[in-house]
Amino acid sequence: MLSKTTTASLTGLHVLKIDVEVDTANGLPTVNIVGLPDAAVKESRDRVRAAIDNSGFQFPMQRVTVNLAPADSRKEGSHFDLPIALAILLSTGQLPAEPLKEAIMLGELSLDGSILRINGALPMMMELQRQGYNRVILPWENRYEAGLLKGLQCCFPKDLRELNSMIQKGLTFADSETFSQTNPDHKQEWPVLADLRGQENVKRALEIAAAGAHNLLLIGPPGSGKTMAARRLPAILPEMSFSESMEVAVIQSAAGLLTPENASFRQRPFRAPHHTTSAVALAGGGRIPRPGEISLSHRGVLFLDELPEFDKRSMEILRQPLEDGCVVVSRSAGSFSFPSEFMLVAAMNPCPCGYAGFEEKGQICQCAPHQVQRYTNKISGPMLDRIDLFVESRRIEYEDLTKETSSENTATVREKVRKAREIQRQRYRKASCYTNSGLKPAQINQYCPLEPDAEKMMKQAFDRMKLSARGYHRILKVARSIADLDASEIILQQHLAEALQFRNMHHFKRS
Amino acid sequence: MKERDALIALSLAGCHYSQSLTVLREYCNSFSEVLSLTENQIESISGIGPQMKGLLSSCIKNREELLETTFCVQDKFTIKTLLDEEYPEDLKHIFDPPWVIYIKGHFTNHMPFLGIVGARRATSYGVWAADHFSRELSNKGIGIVSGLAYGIDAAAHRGTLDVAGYTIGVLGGGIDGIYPAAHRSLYQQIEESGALVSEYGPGVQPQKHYFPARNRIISGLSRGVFVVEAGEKSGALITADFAMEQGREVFALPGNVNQKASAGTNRLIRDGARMVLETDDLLDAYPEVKHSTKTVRDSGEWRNQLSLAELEVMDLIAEGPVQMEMLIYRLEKTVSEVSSLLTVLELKGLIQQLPGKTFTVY
Repeated sequence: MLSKTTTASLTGLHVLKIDVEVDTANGLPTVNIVGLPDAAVKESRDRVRAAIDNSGFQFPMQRVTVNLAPADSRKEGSHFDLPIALAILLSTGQLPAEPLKEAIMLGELSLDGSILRINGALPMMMELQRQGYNRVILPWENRYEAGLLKGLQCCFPKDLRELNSMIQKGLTFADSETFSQTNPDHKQEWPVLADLRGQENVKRALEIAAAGAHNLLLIGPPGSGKTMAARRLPAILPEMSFSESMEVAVIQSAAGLLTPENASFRQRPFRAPHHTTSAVALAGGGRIPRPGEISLSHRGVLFLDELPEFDKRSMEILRQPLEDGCVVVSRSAGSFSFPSEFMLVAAMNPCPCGYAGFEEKGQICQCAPHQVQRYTNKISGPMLDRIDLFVESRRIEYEDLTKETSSENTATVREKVRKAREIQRQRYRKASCYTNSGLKPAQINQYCPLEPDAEKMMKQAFDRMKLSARGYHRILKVARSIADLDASEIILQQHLAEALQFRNMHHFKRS
Repeated sequence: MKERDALIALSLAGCHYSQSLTVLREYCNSFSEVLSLTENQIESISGIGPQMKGLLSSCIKNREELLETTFCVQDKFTIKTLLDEEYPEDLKHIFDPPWVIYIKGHFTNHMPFLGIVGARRATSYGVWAADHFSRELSNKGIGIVSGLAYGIDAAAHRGTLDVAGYTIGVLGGGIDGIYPAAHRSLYQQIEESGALVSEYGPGVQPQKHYFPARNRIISGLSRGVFVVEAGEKSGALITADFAMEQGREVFALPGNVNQKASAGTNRLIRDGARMVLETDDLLDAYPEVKHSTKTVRDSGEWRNQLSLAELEVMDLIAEGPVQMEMLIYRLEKTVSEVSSLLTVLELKGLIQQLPGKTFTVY
């Protein structure tokens, strides 16, 4: 007998509705899956057989043909287990067809019949809902993802037995809006700013960077707290808006990172890949491409510690995404575009030994001048051009550790940053960007008005600091963020003056 | 064959050592005769090594081609020899002046020179001092001679070029070679507005022992040598030794006694070098140059142009290099207030930023 269930497939972030058709006919007992399944889908035949047998049903001793339609697109993932199992049960008449009509099924099966978590549930549900499917059968562990969608009817059976008894009672679906979007047990504690003793300029730079989503480069000797500072950035970043969080959740879901343990909706991602990370892992890749680190840090922070240690190729791969906000990965399976609007935070030493320019207390740089140059030259000019804030951190003194700091606490800073972002959101309603860092050169004149005194200062600085056009724009954008933190519509001289302090590139002087 | 051409031919062939050239000249009475010596005569010369003798005989064999090259090189570079009238007067009087110097750019004799030398691995203090004093002296019309190396040398050249002063770079390799290669643009800038000088003809690769020899030209061209920063064993101390032998003034910049990078200069001061605390200390060796009446900073005139808050910052920085952190702490202002005050002072040219967010008077 022929039966049909509905599910979806995910390639990259692209979703396709899939019909699972099962035909059972007399003949030698065998199971054939057709429709370009990959290994995980092919193996599903063994999981499905055991799950059915172990849940009080009977696997048909017949010739079973499973077709995944449309048959010309490749399917991957383990979420086809549940729709295949249900289609087999329907075709052998072990379950009534009526209650399951119009429902999407997603889920992996364990050999004992329990339904397990899957990757990519969110993008698949979103797309099918758009196509008019409102009922979904989903693993219990994917419930937070369903909670993100409005107007979806969900059902979360724990295993096939429970699903059977639900169906016998007449399957009921619950409204998705009644589910929580985040795990209440999941509390992410970010390290706080107060841990940073002294380092006032570093803290201020973090604040400005967070306010305008600016790219930041920390330079300092070993042990000066560069990494420590960068890790405190998430604590002061504002929460994401709903639409931003959805973009992020879709990527995380596709990458399988949206587990119940870290379902932290609205929390901006913070990714810190190690410097041995390959170019492909950063950009995204695979036969059927998966999002890489730069996409996983979309709307959040990509932190590259020890920047010069990164492979040259990996580093240069960041250039296009930093400019365009998306990365296009082409493979044999097709060409996929992943969003990648992230804030780049990088940390580095000034030279191989770490002390060039930071000589103090008899600690001097041991490197030959050409070694220093070779080290800093690893960061290419185009890469430097994309950095908005250059911040030097120095080693802290004993006094810093003991001194009472007057600096603001994390909550105040976060509130200031939130307000500044809100100002930007209002200002850029009609523009094509979210934050100051996203301003295009053509928009800068419109959105970054300078007061007359500031204009005079800019001219002076332009000549004195020998700025490039790009450097000039970067300074204006940073000044814009400083003015926003100050809730000033026009950029005052003091804002510009402060912005100029973060354009200190003497470690990269090239002769 | 002209005497001068013969000398240049010998130099181009690789006979760089001025002492060997002197020996040859004494033996033959003139350089033109050197090129017509026979093998036996060469063998009998005492005072030059076997390598030099081999060089000489191949030189004589290829005499015609060599002379042709000589003419080409003379077209391309300015060449001054000890036989010429216009040979730099100061250089003539040292113990072993180079017989031939090759020059690229615009060489002039009509100004007093000061050599500024120091370690390649310079600290920010040294770079500041080299830059600062080369600017001040250039503004007084004194030419700056240095060695185009990393660190202090480069800072001295750049400081001079920045104020459109005149600077001479003395190379440790052939006149057309750029060493270190990273200084290509510096090399070109000096060629445009100053001069590059070398004892070695085009195509000569720099050798380790050429650099100490180069140092005698730096001091030889100058009336005094200013050692800005030198460790215990820095090559800059060799230049200072040459300067003393040649009867030139030796100046040194005092440094922190705990700082290894200043060990050499501090020792020089103890041994009798003149300590440089301000520009006038250097100008003492140049009586024809008017001593600086006050600089902008010393005159105090700038004080009237600053706001109260700016003055407060300025006074703290005037006490010595100070970290931004300390300024925030001492002034009890926020980091953004202090940052913007610092930028204003920087743009007014009163202070300068060093690595590590440290500020010092300019």
